[in-house]
Amino acid sequence: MSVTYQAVGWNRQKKIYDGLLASGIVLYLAIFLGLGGAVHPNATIETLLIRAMGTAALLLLHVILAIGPLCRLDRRFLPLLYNRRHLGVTMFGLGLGHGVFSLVQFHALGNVGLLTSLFTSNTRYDSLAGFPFQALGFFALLILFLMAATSHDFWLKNLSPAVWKRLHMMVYVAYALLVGHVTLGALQSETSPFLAGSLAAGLLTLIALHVTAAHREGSRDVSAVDAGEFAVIPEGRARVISMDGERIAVFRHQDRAYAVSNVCAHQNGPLGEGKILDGCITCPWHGYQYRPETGAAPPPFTEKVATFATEIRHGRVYVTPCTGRPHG
Amino acid sequence: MIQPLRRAHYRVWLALAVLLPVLFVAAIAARRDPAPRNPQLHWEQYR
Repeated sequence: MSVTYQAVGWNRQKKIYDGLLASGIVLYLAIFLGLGGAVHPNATIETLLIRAMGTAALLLLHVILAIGPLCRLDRRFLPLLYNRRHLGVTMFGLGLGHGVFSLVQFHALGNVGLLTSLFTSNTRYDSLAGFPFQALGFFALLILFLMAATSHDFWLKNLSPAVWKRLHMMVYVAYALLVGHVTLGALQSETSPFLAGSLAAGLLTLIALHVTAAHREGSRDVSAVDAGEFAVIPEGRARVISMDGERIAVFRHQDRAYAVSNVCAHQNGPLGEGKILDGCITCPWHGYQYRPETGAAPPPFTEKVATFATEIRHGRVYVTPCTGRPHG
Repeated sequence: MIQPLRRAHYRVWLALAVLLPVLFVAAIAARRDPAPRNPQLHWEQYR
């Protein structure tokens, strides 16, 4: 087994994608500054930049949060998922620009430090209309910084996928903070229905996409495959079944059923012909091992095989086609 | 492996689906009329 990892390399497709992303952002900022200057001739360039970068970051965050469910609903969106981390880092850069310009614009002229001013100039936490919304933006930016700083595969490997994923799920906290930041901040003074309507539309679109994608997957889970009688599977051994063209090994271990892909991650050995040794499924070819609960090789090894949810009903084992945590 | 993660995402979005619209509506409802423009004040001259 190996403890090495293969980072996703920089390739032509990623370069084209990043080129389009950079061009799009430059175009957006230019249009915003041009139109903003025409509509609000008294606004300073700093104010326009703050608004341009803030709206660009928020727009990009909505795109980023929509990519996951879109890919589950339609596989044609998968190229976006492949490049999502670059979008995230770019969005953080725009948010950072918005934050730094705002700090300087609104807090640099006092006799206290920038951050001290940010947290002490307004302490009306009991008021919705006068809420210190900038603090919400600061904490959201802090989360986005942690995510951008750990976005490389190096951190995915060193923090472990579970910790990394938990950290990156903080994006939902950041999103909630930013909705608060905008509604309690910009939307208190900017009363244009277009701005409030845009944010509401973005929010409702994201909620609808995520809930729809989850429901569609949930309905797929219902069609469990009958893997036969549980009692006839010897303890520590497996029965191999075929499901959606994939071979699945259904193991019996301590009176529970566990289903994993029949294909060993090493050299495609038949895991279902192996047995459970020391609590691990052991490949009959070269002895590679995987925990039946998670499909993961015991530390420090990092190989994994897919697992499938199982259920025992009336003495028979049922395996659901989507991958998941085994039980039963 | 992936399914518990997707369940966690789904639960988070259910919570956000309740929390964020309430926050949004409450914040818009709490909005006060902006102070009327003072026609005597021409702040541009102080630039």
